[in-house]
Amino acid sequence: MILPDSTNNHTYWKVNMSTRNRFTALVASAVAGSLILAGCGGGTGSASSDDDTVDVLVLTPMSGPLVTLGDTAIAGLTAAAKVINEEGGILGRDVKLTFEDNRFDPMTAQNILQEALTSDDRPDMVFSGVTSTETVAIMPLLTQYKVLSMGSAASPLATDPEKYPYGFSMFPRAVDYEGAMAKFLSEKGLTKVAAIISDSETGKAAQDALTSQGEEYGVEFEFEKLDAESVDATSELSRLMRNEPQALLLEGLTSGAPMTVVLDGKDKLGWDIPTFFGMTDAVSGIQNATEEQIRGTVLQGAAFGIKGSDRQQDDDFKIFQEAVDAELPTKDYQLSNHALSYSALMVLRAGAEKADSLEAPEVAEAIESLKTDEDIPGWFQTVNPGFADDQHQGTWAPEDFEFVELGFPGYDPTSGLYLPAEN
Amino acid sequence: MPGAGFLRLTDAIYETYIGVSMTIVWAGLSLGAVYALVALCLNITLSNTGIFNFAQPHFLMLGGFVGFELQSRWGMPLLLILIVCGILGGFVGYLEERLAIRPLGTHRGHAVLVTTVGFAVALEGAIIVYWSTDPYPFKLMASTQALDLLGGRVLPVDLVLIVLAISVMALLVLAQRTKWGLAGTAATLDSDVARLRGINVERVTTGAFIAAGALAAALGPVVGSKIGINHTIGNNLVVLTFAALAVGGFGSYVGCVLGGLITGLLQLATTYAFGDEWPLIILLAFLLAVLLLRPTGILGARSLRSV
Amino acid sequence: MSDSTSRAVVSRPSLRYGWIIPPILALALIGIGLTILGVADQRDIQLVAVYTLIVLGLNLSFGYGGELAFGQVAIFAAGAYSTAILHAHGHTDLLLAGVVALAVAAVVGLVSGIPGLRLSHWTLALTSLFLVLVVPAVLVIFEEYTGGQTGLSGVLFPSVLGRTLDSDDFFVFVIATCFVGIVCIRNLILSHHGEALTVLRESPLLAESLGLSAYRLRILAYVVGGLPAGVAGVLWAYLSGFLYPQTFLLSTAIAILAASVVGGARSIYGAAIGSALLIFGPLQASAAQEYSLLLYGAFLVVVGVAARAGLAGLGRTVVSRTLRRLPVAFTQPREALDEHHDLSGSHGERLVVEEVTKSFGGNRALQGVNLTAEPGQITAILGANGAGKSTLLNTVSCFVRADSGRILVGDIQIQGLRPHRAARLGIGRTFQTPLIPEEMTALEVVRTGRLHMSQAGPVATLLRLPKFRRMRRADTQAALAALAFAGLLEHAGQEARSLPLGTRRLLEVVRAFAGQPSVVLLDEPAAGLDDDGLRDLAELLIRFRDAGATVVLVEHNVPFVLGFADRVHVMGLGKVIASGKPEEVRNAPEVIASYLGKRHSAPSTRSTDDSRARESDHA
Repeated sequence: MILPDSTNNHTYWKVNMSTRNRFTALVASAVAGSLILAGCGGGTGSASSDDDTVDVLVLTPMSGPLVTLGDTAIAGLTAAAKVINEEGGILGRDVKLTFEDNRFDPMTAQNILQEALTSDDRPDMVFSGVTSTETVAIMPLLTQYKVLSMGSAASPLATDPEKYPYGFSMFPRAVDYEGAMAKFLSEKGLTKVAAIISDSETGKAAQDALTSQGEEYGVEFEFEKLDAESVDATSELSRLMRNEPQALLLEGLTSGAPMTVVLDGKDKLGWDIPTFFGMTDAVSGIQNATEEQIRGTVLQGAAFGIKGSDRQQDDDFKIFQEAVDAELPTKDYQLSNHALSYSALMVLRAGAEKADSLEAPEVAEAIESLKTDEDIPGWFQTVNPGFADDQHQGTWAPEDFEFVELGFPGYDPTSGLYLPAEN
Repeated sequence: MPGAGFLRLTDAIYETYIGVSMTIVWAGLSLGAVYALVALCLNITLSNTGIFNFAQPHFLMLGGFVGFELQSRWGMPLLLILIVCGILGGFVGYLEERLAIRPLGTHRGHAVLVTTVGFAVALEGAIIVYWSTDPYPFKLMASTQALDLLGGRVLPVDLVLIVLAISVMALLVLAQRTKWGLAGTAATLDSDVARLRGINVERVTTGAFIAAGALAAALGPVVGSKIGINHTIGNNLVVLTFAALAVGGFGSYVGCVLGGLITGLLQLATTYAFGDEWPLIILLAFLLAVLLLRPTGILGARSLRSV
Repeated sequence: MSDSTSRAVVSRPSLRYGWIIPPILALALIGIGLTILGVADQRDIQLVAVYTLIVLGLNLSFGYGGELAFGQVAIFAAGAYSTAILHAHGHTDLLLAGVVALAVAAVVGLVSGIPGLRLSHWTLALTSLFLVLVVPAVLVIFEEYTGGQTGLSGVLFPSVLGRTLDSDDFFVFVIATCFVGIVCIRNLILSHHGEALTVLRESPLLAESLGLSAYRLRILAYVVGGLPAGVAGVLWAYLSGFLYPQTFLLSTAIAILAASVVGGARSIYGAAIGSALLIFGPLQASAAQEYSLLLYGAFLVVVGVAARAGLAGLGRTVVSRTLRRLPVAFTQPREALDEHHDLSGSHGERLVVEEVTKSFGGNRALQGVNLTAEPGQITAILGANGAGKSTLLNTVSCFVRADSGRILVGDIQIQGLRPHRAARLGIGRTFQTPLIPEEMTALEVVRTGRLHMSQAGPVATLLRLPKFRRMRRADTQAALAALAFAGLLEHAGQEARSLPLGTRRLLEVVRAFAGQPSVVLLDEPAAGLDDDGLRDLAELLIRFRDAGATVVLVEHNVPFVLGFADRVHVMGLGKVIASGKPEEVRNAPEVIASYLGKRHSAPSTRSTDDSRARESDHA
């Protein structure tokens, strides 16, 4: 079925939600029909094979627990496509986005992709997903079929240029943001820091980066993992307490209970300790915290995502902000998330125009040579993007992050910006 | 003054170990109270009809979502929320009994496990249809100011849960002594004999499902404000609650609370001792040890031993 | 008679060439898959194949073995991860992965089956769900090998014997493997092994009395039921190319249960039907289709309530109705039957019980019982309720362990043995309430009496080697002969459960004799029988006696027993209080007391209730 998604004013591209073709529908309805249970087969979406558009297949969660994170990708990409198309498209062609629901499920992502890659009309680029879980699963396929891909996965596994030469991620490298964190902590005179991290890929990447960067800056980290479904973090925090750290860092705590559980646990233990939120914590946890829990905490964010930052004077940022606000008036995730997918199309445009081609090997090679802000029109995330042939994620310098003491509320869902305390 | 130094040292040990430990004990007890409450609901059908209702924790989940809706959309007062949830839960319990239990007749075998699992899945499905799969943060009680109690610190909501578990247990133990409770026990021991003695086994079964459903759904908002609400808590609770029930003893309300508290304490204590990966594995080993060595659990009724 | 007999023997004509169906289906599916279908559809069909394998295993242990355990999900994970770990070390051969996965599956199946030795019913089911809950934690603990939460990615390009498979080759491999799995499980279920499982499901006590170790059977069910899941793991690893802990969750376990139940847990092809529904149909447990979970829950309730046999059962009913209308030819030469007529029961041995005592707590049920039962005689044990008759019978058959004393069959001491050992040494018995497994014909029921003598091993069974066929033919003929001996041949092809009580009792007696026991113990065989039934029973017992069998029966019905027993022992308060010929004990005061006692306390009703309670404990 072809559904124009009217809720977000996506009017000029197809939203193809179905993944299965006619045979499947036939089998499904035959079997289901025999049970008098119809109404759940798939439809057919015939992607028109025209060469005057740049086709981007977007795989993102449009249902399931990460649907709001998926929304950020949809909004960011939609905004970027509008901006690019207004500015004349890529190599003179309009960008056409096709959204598919990967359900935050690796198998589903693979199935959708496999079907798309074996069809007559292969996409020029694939947006590979918003988390490592669905992204890592499809990278081998993308490589096998030599298709360019960009995503916002945090895991370095998804962006190893040796394994996946055509895959890029807009997410900063863990060594960059954790390096900035370690540097910041050490400048504060802290040498022994406890970190409570999510028991996930993101948490694992953070742990590795903090360990190595900590050594560099003379900060010793101790880690405790926290399960995503944990309902009480007292024990984990108590374990950390035993070594009497000077500060507590929360990293990779996603939506749902964990952030609240940690903050409540601190209260319970009466643990009055300087607390830091890392780059990968979900904003919903901060939104749900009480004033006492938020006051005095320090947050690491992309510089442009913090209200009052100089980076917001960048023209590219202003265009981005306006375009995204038009797509998604209320933001469940901080603006830096929307920027990831937005930037993906900007990088695609820069790479394709530099290579004067849409062939994956040539575009990938071109992207590897995009070093400075001028190389990528529309780029505002960092001072210089700094892609390289051995690095398929942008380079973030310590100045590209900001550390602020949060106010209360600490987050503004309309702008998607963090709100610092007013001194 | 070495004496003072020693005192300071013991103070320090107390502060870092005993003090912390008592806080963990409180946290474990409150988590255990959650298991205990679910186990109590489960035990109503178990001790009155002999049925392990796989869907019971899903009633709690339903209550949590409904409570969230009533609070966030209509700003209903707490007491009213609990009453509405209770009535709804009772009705759904009635539905379950009529649709998934009664048609099976008296010789239910494995079918009852299949149909209650089916009902659980359907409840989860219904919740997803209405509330989607998003997690909802939910606080029935706003205060997060921890209290100092018996050398540890505890949040008010945690304390409420512990008190609630014990009160509900006391109520159920009393209810068991009533005519209805005795009829239920008789119906479980041998439904044919009970029927011969003039006990309306069908009515006892329906009553048990309504009561358990109402109680579970009414507890939903309270428990939900401790563990958060999302569509997975039903399935997550069912296995751990089963562990609590098995440890405490099938059929015993006191056993439910005892088993629940032990399970919660063990879970947090092993997390404290070994880290986040181990508690479930240790709990499984503990559960197996209990089931193999003492199949009725600590306080279980022999008649309900299904081993 | 020949007409009805013919129906009996050729009761299931479809089964003889049933093995042809899977290969034809497989070839058709492979043909369609390679020519018409796109890659995505191929994937879906491969997924169906993977689930079919897992569900097959569950059907074996749940549908046929009667115990619901979800170990399959853990085994599936173990198979998949072992394959991915092999891949990470450069071993991409599917056959190697298959062998390793089978070994791993056997180990995990064994471990996950151990709780099943003590637990049953929902306690076992939920304990095994706990095992599933622990899988992700275990994977994280062995992060070094499993990649922890990150998982293992890039499990691609499998090979077979050095040849790398492309996606079409792999498709063929998956389908072929699935169908080999189906054939193996089918051959296992339609064999003495499958019948043993069906007996176990009906009652572990019955299994033990037929010489089968319930423990061994259960472990066998878990281990064998886990093997297909291990193989499914291998296929899954290469199919998905990416393994991470969140694939192996409670919802996976529930989905597999749903597929099993909807397809029909007691069926072979039902596994494929249920799995197809899981992948294509409304069972698809994904959040994307909003109503899918709701539907799929409703489905479980409806199927659980209405069609316990599942979709395959529905199909089977249609097929069997059709087949019943077809004319069938009688293939069994009558001489073969006659020749076996006198075989049953000719191996009677003397049973000696010496000073046997047994106490339950403070209750001294047996206080030094002495008695002897001779071959070629019917020995009856009478007594009031609570006199210790049933305890004695249970002690002799080793279901209850004697505290002291000796029990001899011929020269062999059997006290203290496990019941199935005693059964193998020649103790046959029946139960107060007939234990007749569901869905078995009378012929099959009698044939189960010979299960402990069935020697064909698993390989011969799986491959249907001549040895297996010979053994089955011999078993069937012996069973037919036993039925003919008892005059029950006309019922051979009927479903045994549907027979009248009297016939079922006779059938139980015939089953007990079919195993050629040295001694047969009958536990109140006359209970609930009318006069015709009593006459038939007495006639049958007399025939067995005349053939040389040692027949021991425990009874309440005094006039019935005194009518044809050769020797009577009267028990009271755990002792033999009178012995002799019927006419000698007829007027003994103890007998009168016990006879009157029966009328006043209506013991037979109560004891039946007791046994039912015991049964439901074990069911």
